[in-house]
Amino acid sequence: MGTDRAGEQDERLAERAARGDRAAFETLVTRHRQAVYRLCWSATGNHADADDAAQETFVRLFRSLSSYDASRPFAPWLRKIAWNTSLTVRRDAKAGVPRLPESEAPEAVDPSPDPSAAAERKQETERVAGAMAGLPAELRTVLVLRAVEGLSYAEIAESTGVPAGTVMSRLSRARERLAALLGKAPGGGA
Amino acid sequence: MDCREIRANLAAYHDGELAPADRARVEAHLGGCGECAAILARLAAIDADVDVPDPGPGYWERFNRRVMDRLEKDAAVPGTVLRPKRGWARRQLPYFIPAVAAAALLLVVVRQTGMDPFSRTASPPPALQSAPQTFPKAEGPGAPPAAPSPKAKIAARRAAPKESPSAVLTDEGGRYDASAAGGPPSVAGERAAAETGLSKELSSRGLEEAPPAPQSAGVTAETTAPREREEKGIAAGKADRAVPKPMASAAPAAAPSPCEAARSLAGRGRLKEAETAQRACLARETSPAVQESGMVFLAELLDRQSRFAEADAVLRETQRQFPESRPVDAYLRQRSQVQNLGIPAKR
Repeated sequence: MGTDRAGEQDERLAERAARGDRAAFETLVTRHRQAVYRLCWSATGNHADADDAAQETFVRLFRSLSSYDASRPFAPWLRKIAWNTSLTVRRDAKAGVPRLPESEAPEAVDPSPDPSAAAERKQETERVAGAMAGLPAELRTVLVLRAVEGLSYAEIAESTGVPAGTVMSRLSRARERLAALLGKAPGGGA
Repeated sequence: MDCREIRANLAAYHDGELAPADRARVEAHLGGCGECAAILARLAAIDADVDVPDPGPGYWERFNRRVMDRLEKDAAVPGTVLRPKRGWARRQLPYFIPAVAAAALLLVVVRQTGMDPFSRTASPPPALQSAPQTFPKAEGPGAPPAAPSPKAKIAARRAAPKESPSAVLTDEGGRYDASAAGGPPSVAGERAAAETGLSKELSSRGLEEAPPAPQSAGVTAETTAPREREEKGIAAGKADRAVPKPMASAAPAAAPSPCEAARSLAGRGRLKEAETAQRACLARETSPAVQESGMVFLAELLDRQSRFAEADAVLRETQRQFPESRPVDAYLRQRSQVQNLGIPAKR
């Protein structure tokens, strides 16, 4: 292991990766893989496509590093790649294009020592996952980017290529729909 | 603010998107309105429920290895390398060699004739125009600089090699033309180059490899232009516009067309500007050949900006308009091979 890259900025890592530093690239993958996966899952609504899209996102990232401008923030750029890749994967899935064989099913992992609590949590997780999967992808994505990733409307707009006003209205609809799917009273909003 | 107005702003308040003044108003209202406060609490509760199922630690342990495996697999495809970007100098090489060859060829021509090779055109080249005091009679159309004085020869030699290599590289406004290796491109050849250049590029390089030649061409034009302006002075503006000017792109008055600008900008990595120029080019040039190759080039520019979905849409539209489009097929084949995008090469 070379130097500790934990504190190194994404932009610098991307620069190094663009010069062929594979360790820097892997650091970027490790750092962003979960956020990328969540975005891909939001866009596709299932693990197999999300996995395919997340993998493909990093392949495309690697191939696109040469065009990356390190003076611009890395994360929004990566999100854009992930979003576009997810759309492609989703379209291909609809068109019946076979996906990559290495997609693994998600594992049911719960580190809790209490079996009944774990079962309860699993049940709740599945209920929420089912409700989330029941949302239209465009609504689900803005909701995840806002509520899980904590992005601003402008950042979500940039990532998904829609105006900030659209993000706001989608967010409002997404919350209403999710509340309905979970059997909860909706919050306020426009 | 009444409850209706407050509720319209609650989501934005919750998301931290309100301006400080509006935020203060909402907060003041929430302090005295339990109903609105309850709605806000429900918003927070819904957001707390939002979750994406995590595939588990085993999945993440394998994740990086799988990405690297895919990259290795891609690298096994002929013509690709497991490297995000080849070194700048190395990428220039395939283009630099023909460019240098072309420059050398012109130099030979210049030395053999003792004058600018473009003097065969109907009017004297800009280099000669720039020295009217040396060739006072050479300004007339078609007047060859016959039997110039030794001083004039020296002046011509000094001027010509400076302009001629650039003229090859930037002829017709800075567009790279692989045929430059075999000699300077002609005006008639420009259109053909526009139509066939892409296929050549596609067959000779991977998708991510930016076409470096326009970069060098552009750089040459840029670095030469001030010097030229200095030498030409006012005479530059008087250049005969009926004759193709080898340094048209460097002349202050002759701006490159959008199509040319797009290629040049793309070569310099200014992809967004290249895209804008290419769209302008497509709006202006309506001939089918230019449209067909131009749309594929636009898709390539979008790909290079990682806007793959938009690139896909452009390619689909191109296929729709040109059902037997070879540039599209070639590009798709190359793209799916190199990038493993999963887009079928054949319709």
